[in-house]
Amino acid sequence: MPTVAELYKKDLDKLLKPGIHFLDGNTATAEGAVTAGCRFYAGYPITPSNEIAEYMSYRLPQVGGKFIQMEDEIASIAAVLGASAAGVKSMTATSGPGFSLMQENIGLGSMLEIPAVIVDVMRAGPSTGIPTLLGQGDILQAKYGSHGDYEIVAYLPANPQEAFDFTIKAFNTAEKYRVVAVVLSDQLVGHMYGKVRVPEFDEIEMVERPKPTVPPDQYLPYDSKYLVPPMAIAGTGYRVNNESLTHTDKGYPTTDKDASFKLVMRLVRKIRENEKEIAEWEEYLLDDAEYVIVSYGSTSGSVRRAIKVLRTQGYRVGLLRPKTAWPFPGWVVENLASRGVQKFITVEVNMGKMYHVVREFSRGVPVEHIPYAPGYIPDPDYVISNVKKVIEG
Amino acid sequence: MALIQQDEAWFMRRLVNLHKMKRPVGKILVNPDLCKDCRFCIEFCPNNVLEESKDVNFKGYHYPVVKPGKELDCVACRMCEKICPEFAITIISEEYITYDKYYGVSRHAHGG
Amino acid sequence: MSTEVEVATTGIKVELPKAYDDIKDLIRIDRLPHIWCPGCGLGILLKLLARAIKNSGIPIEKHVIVTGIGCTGRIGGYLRLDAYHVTHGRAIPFAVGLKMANPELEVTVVGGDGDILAIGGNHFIHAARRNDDINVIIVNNFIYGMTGGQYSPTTPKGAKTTTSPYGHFENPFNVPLLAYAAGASYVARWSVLHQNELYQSLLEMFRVKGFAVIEVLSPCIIYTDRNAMGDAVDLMKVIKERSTIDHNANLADIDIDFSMKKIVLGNFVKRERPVSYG
Repeated sequence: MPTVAELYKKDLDKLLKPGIHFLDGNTATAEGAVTAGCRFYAGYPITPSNEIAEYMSYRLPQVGGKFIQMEDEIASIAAVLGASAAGVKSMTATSGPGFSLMQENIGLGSMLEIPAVIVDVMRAGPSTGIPTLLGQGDILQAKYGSHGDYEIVAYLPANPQEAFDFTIKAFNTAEKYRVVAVVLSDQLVGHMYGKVRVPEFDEIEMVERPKPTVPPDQYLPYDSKYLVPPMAIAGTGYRVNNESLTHTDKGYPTTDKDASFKLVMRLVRKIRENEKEIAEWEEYLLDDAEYVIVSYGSTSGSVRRAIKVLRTQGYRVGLLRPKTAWPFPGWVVENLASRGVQKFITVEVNMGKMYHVVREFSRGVPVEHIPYAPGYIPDPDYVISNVKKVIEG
Repeated sequence: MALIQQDEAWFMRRLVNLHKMKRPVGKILVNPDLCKDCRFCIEFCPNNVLEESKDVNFKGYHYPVVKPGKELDCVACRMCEKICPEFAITIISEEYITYDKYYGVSRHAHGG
Repeated sequence: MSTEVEVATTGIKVELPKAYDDIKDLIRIDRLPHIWCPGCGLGILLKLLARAIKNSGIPIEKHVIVTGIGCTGRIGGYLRLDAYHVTHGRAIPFAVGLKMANPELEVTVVGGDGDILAIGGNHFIHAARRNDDINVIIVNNFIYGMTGGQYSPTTPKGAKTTTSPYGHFENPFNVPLLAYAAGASYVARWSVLHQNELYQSLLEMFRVKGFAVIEVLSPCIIYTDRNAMGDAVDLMKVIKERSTIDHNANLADIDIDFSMKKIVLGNFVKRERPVSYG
């Protein structure tokens, strides 16, 4: 598999050195992007993601990249898609309100099949909410925010190390499948300092988008015989018509029923047929669990502590921590349900988002949700007492 | 018509080498299937050479035809070709004719 | 590359006349006849733009067209170039991203008056402020054509449109003044009737380093029909009779109102301003 060492031979000394570093989550996200090959950033300031933009404005010129602060979030994501269409890996960072603004162009990126990475440092909502405190409210918006049918990939880091790793994974997934990848960080992860271990460069996988193998006169930009068609970059002579209207294999707009069906099916099959490779999750004490707690991001640390205490008190609980919100590892929930788990409990800092997704796969096993105030993570005692209430009915 | 009056009434004022002066004359080709009857070519021809046809193309649009009797009035200025939004009308050949008496113009083909 | 092709949808034989031999590799002949209305100025702009791209001196592979949504947005689909048909109003930031990632590209945004000045207005003034090195062609037909005839930021006061049945109440934009005030390096206004001047202006636009804007007045039968102005050809006659060319016009005086008594065209602004990036 291609690695950072192979693809960045001459610039390796400019990347963050392999070894142990002490970084906050936002800086780790930015460094992960630079290591993965991101060389363009367009963004708009929004708390709590400002550190990513500020760090990128300082770091990108050092590695030969470009930074621009655009006039709003919509322009940011449009510029990111444009730069990616010209062959440069690009990203933007925002928070809840900005993410809502970007939805139309996320649909554009999905239709034109241009890889891009969006970092959403979630904050308390709704609306302006509490800009300086965490939230976990964008889980469903990441997947269902834009209109029509499309698929995106979303990662849920829980600490600075995962912020670094998952940003690299987001770039690789975006390039491999030509989708928009979202890193759903939150304010606590973004501002938390922690140990980040950067692996050796020949251990970090780096994926580039599939390139055309035929000359321009035989090239079809949206060739349906591939699940992920090779992408021709602007300015290389392929003269491709990239259409946001529903299009044929050749890129011409159409209203034909078969073309529409074929296109939409391919756009979702790209991810759905590969979900077992993309999805990642962590299992903690699940082998003999009767009650499974589903939690992610910043809350998972608190829940882990609560599970340790509950186990000493005799409750057989375990933790399922999805590392990818989308595609969601539904088959894991199905297996647990058919194995005899009695209840699923989702602990989130919202009024029920991943709760609905777990319900979809729980095969009739009851799912309960423990909400918490947006802005704060529940402390372990709160989790312990509420889980006990749920278990005892 | 004005040329004839001038010619007969002001016999001595006629240009001596008028029979040597040449002007271009163009042959117009219309692709009727592409025309959408916008009338730009009819309107902007400086010599009013074109008019709408009586019959229609397969979409029901009338397309331009040369007015009867005006076949030699086209001077190949190509304004119709430039102003047409549809690539439907073009000048396909340019020849040269002389300014002799209007009735019997003698034609000297000069390349094309 | 043959100049004659049979179009699958209509079954007719489309042949590009010999006079267009120099741009036959730039026009997608298999998609002719195009979808624009009889009398739409976009067909004329398509020919002029293709010719200007061919003669611009910049390799054709480096030209990229970014279009928005609307009738004008379809122009990219008829040109055999790298073309991006993006969301409504967001063609300019997309073009800025393209140019920043690869400064060798020659990026041209073609959009309508509603696409670039209404929903895309914010992006327009910021790109002009930064003087990004992109070209913008605003095709001004004074209305939202594709969606059936609603009013746009350039619809004159008093005009009747589907969303202003009692006559339009709002004041329109003065596009060259707006572009100049926001900071554009090159501002011109022509119409599709002024073939040679518009062609020279397009060539100049490719040479300018900085934000270049050309406003192209174009007839739209939806606008003329609802306002008892006849057909597109009648609006072209109005432009022919009443337009004046004044390259040194005072930009504050060149509004176009409903009577269209005064239409001032010209290459108004050409100045050196620093380009922010690149």
